[in-house]
Amino acid sequence: MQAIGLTKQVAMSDTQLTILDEVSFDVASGEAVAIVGASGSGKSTLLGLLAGLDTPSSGVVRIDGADLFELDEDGRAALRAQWVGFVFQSFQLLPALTALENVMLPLELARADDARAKAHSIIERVGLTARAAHYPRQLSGGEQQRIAIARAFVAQPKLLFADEPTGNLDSATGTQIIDLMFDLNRERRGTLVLVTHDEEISRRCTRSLRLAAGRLVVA
Amino acid sequence: MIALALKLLWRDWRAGELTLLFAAIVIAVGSLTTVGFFTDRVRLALTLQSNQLLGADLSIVSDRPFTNEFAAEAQTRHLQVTSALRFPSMVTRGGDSLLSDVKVVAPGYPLRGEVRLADTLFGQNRVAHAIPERGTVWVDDRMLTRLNVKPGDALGVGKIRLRIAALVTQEPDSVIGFLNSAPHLIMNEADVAATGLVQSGSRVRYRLYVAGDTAAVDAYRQWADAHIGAGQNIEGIRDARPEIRSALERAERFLGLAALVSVVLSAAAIALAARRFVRRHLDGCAVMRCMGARQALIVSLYFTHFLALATIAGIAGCAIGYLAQFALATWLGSFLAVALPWPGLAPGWQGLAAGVLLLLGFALPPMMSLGRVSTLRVLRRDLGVPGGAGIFGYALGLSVICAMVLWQARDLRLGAYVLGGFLAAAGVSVLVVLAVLHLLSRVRADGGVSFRYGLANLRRHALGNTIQVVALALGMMALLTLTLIRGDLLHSWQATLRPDAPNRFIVSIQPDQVQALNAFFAAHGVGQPELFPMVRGRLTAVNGRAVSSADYNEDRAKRLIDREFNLSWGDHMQPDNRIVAGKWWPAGSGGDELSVEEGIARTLDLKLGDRLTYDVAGSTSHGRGNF
Repeated sequence: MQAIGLTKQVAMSDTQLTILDEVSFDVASGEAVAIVGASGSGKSTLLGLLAGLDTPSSGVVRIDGADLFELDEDGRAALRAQWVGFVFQSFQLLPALTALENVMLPLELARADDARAKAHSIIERVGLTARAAHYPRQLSGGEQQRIAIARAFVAQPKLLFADEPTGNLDSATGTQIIDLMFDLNRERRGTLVLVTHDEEISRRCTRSLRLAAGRLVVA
Repeated sequence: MIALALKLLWRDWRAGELTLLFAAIVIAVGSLTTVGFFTDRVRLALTLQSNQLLGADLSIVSDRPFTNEFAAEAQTRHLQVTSALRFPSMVTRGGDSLLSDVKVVAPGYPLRGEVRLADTLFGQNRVAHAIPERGTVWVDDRMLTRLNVKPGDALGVGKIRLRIAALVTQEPDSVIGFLNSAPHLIMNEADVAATGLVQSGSRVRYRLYVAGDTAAVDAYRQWADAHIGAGQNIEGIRDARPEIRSALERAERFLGLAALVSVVLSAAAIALAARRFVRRHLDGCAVMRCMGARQALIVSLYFTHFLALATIAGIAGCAIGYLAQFALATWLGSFLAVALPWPGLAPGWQGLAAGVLLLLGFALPPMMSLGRVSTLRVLRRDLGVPGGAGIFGYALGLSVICAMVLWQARDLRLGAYVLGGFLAAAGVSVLVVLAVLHLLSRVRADGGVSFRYGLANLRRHALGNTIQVVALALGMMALLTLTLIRGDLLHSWQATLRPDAPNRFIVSIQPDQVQALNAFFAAHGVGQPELFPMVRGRLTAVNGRAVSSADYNEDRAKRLIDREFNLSWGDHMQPDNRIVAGKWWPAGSGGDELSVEEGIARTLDLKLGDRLTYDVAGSTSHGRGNF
């Protein structure tokens, strides 16, 4: 993945607010990269741009050579379906679906075969077989994030984006979650881009990108 | 895609996300189909009976005996002819008496259809091949039960006694309809003279039945059209039972509009529930977009989702409507003396279509915003609902409601009134909400933190709040309208009766019966009844100039000229009457003055002092108008 001159500006009432300013870096296949920085430094905005969830004011993001922003919304969705998995700070499990159904959903959207079997398998891997039939509201925060990780990995993405995955968890649970995520990523030889303000987590990554006031200070 | 949509539907249903939407559609479809199935049953009953409704291909009704030329003309055209006459009379059995509808039939009756008889209530049916023998009558089940009689018993009809030969279970030309069925008796015309019931001034309707080749019947109808006089009407199959058709149309329109009120209420619920559904699914859709679902896929998924929901809820609504119409038929059964066949499927399809249109009409605009949801929402949950067409996004749903109101009202003006009322209520609600929000913004500084926070929230979601208030206001208005209409109808029905209105009327008392009647009342100590003389007469001339219905444009005026008036006479004015013009005649005056009811005078354009000529059983009476 390659980011070149990524800039994001937002029009305020009387001025332009620059959230990201000319951010450029590469991420090699199999790397685990942490994006760190203080609150408001532009970490989540950068993640959104890298994943094609948002469009920049200027700049380019290439994934496997394809320019994300030359594609339309549906083109980016197709690329995400093929390449990308997500883990969010607020889990983002669908409340009307059980844990198993949440994990099955990416496979069902991709019309994959054996969605149920594959989902069961990875739920077993994250240690929540007994909770597969439970709704998100019946699970603890740590369990919900495990299910979210299972959902992110079930379609075997080559690139995983994680936005503050331990932000809503206590430190002990957070550590278990991070262990699980790194283990799964390693097993699948995936690339991980992780937003965190936790230095401990960033130290477990191959390298860190530090943002300050929208600019990349360490790459 | 369909399989996934159905899976999502099932999962949402299981999680209770669809309960409100489902209930709203079921209520809307259930209300519409209840009325639809019931009116369909009545309409089918009319159609099934129409071929034998008249007992002939053509029938001429008259308020005086037919001259011979009508039957003779039919016979020369090789048509079958028979006749009947009908009048109300008291029928007695021991000490009991019952006001009954007496039908006197001549041999050959009925020319079309059949009379079916039984020997006991609910007994085996058989077709009658002739009219009742002399000295016998056939009675209906109401008379059988009201007088507690059985075949073989004798009944007093006028001056003679007739034996009950059978129970009539079905007959052509029967009294079917809302609110007008009396116990019924059929007798042979050869017995009628002996009863002494048909006299000058009796309320008798004469009917001539004609049947035969269609072309010959049509030709005879043309001939009869040119020869009938005032008080005579021709009825064919096409114009059979207009009173039932109009009663059905009125009932259908009232029940239909009542059903529509619940549809408007349900539409408001659907609009709110769909909005809630969309808000609760925005995050999920954003997640699915992150997982690679294209915009079109999301829209297709939820379109299928809603379509399936509307279909399932519609089928449930139809089933409830089907069952509920039995309750309606039972409730209205006392007004209907006709067996209702099973309803057709058409009301079900119409209800289903209404359910689908309602849901799609109100759910499509918010549903489209699911497809437009920003993927960035997964990172920034503060992003609101994707911008839509605002209140105009509900134009489709409102159009559906408008179309349904006009369809159900079957009358552009009535439909426009209903729609106008609801639109005005919606407009007023919007203005009130905006005014309240504006007023609240001015008191912002005075409240506490939570108050200010609440107000800010109200203003931030002004459109959503306005839609909710409008929907609730419409729902409340629909409920209140129904309550008021029901109360108002009852009130107006009750208001038409004076508190001291009589409970019983005795009609057709002949002069030689007055003394015995007075003696009866005196013997039972229930006070002396006030007897009013009554004679039927037709208005034939005003100021010496002959009048006919063709002289008048207004339908009521035409009807008044074509039918007989009930005329009465007396020395003094009744205490509840009021003279609006002219003066009451002095007691014992010459008797050439008349008092005419104000409304009739206005309809017929009668003036004070006009000289009116009435034809009473062939003799002519004159009088000058008073009002």
